[in-house]
Amino acid sequence: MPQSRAPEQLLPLTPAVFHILLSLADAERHGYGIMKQVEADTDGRVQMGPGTLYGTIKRLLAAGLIAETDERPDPEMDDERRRYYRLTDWGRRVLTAEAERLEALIRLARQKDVVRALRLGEGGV
Amino acid sequence: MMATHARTGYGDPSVRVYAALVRLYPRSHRRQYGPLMVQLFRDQVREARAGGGHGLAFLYLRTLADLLFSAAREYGDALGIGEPIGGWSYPRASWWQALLAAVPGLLLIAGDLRLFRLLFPRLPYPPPTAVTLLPALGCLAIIIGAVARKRHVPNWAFTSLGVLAIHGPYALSLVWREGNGPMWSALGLPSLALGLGSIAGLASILRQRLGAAELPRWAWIVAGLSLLSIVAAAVHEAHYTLPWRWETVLAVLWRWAFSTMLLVAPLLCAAILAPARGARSILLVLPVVWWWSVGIVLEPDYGLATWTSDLGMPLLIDLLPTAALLVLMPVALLRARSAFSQAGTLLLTTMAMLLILEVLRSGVLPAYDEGALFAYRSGLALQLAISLAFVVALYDRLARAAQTDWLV
Repeated sequence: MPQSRAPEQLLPLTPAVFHILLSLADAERHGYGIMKQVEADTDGRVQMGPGTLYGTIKRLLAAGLIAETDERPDPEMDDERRRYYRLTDWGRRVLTAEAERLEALIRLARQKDVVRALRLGEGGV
Repeated sequence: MMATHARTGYGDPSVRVYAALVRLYPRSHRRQYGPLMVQLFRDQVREARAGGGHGLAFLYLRTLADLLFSAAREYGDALGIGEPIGGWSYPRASWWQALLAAVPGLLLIAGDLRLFRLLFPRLPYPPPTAVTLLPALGCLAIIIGAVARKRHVPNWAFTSLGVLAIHGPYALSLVWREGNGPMWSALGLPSLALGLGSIAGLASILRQRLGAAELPRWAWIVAGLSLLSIVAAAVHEAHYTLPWRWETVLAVLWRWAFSTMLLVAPLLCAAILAPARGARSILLVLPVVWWWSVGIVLEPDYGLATWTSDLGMPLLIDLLPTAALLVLMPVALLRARSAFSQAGTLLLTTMAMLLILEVLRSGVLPAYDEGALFAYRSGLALQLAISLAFVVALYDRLARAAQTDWLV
């Protein structure tokens, strides 16, 4: 069972997995909604095609990180063929663990002044 | 038709094309997610059309790339070698298991390269020990595994048994030609019987493992053609003295394909069975170093053919692509994130380098005498069967891993 394992065993997450989980952190979304949210979260830098998106969704469902939901935000305005996905508790734990891992890395990079050094190397500030 | 398109939302020609291309995915994935993918693409097209500019063209290109890569990934997933969602989710295995999986192949490569003839000049080629010992070990392991563990049989045992399949066609040719003496004829008949049995066994395992993975029909056609090529190789081997117009061209092509599989198969086994991370990846390259050094320096026929060539620097022809291969392989292994991408990178790197090698060598081929040509023609069926045995062992291992340790 997925929950019997520590979230850290799944880290680091692939970028597609991390962004999809992140997009579901605050709301349930359908496939297109996930794709648009990922684009919005990353200012358009991360884009996923239908194959990558639904392939990753399939693996996340199998891993128990997300689940399909029957509830529709607004059934009147929505296409009934769409499937909505939500983050499971296990998925939230994994997402949190990954975010903490990245935060620790950023903290380390800041301590070593890596970001500033990179900008100076590029002729920045 | 209009009504149908209006109902399905596939009215846009590009959406209809995408809906047709979705058939490239494995059936189960297509059934489950095909309509959703088409729906998503339709939304993207609608948005791109509204945005104007080059957005639509970029969307088509991006979606095409996405389709090709993700379809390949889904087939890998169906075979149990798909990309993990995170972590270093390789199947767990120890180094000794990987070693055991690779040893039969390496020994046979040594046999094919006549290393045994060099080390044991008085023994016939291929050495009877290699013919009999490995399958015997495989049988023993299968029996012990079945009796003691009652769970599963180690994969190298199947690999060793695959050795018999290798000798089937070769034995057929020996029997056909009445062998190279009474000992070969004596070895030929039982070896032929065992070989045919092993091919049936391999086919059974393939069907069991791959059938569940919903391989498309073309894959079965390719598998069937591969088996036919073994028989064709045996027939050709039996009549190798007859002139064959396309011999040289086919030899180059076959050498390429077989060398690729021969080189990659043990590495794939090692890479999959023993996940190589960090500096340990370099260890996976050692068999390649060994193979090339033995093949280039020690193999008598080939070494003679190249050293006596008038084309000059024949060794350089081998060494340059080899050096590139030895540099690229560790890089590929270090960079690959999953077993699937590691295996794919290994395969592509090897194929590319060997293609360069074969193109360069094609100028040297006339320097081969008939004996040297015979030397590697006789290895064609052998090498293909080695590859098949390794692939079967690989899929066997991966299929089990998919049920237990894969993903989470």
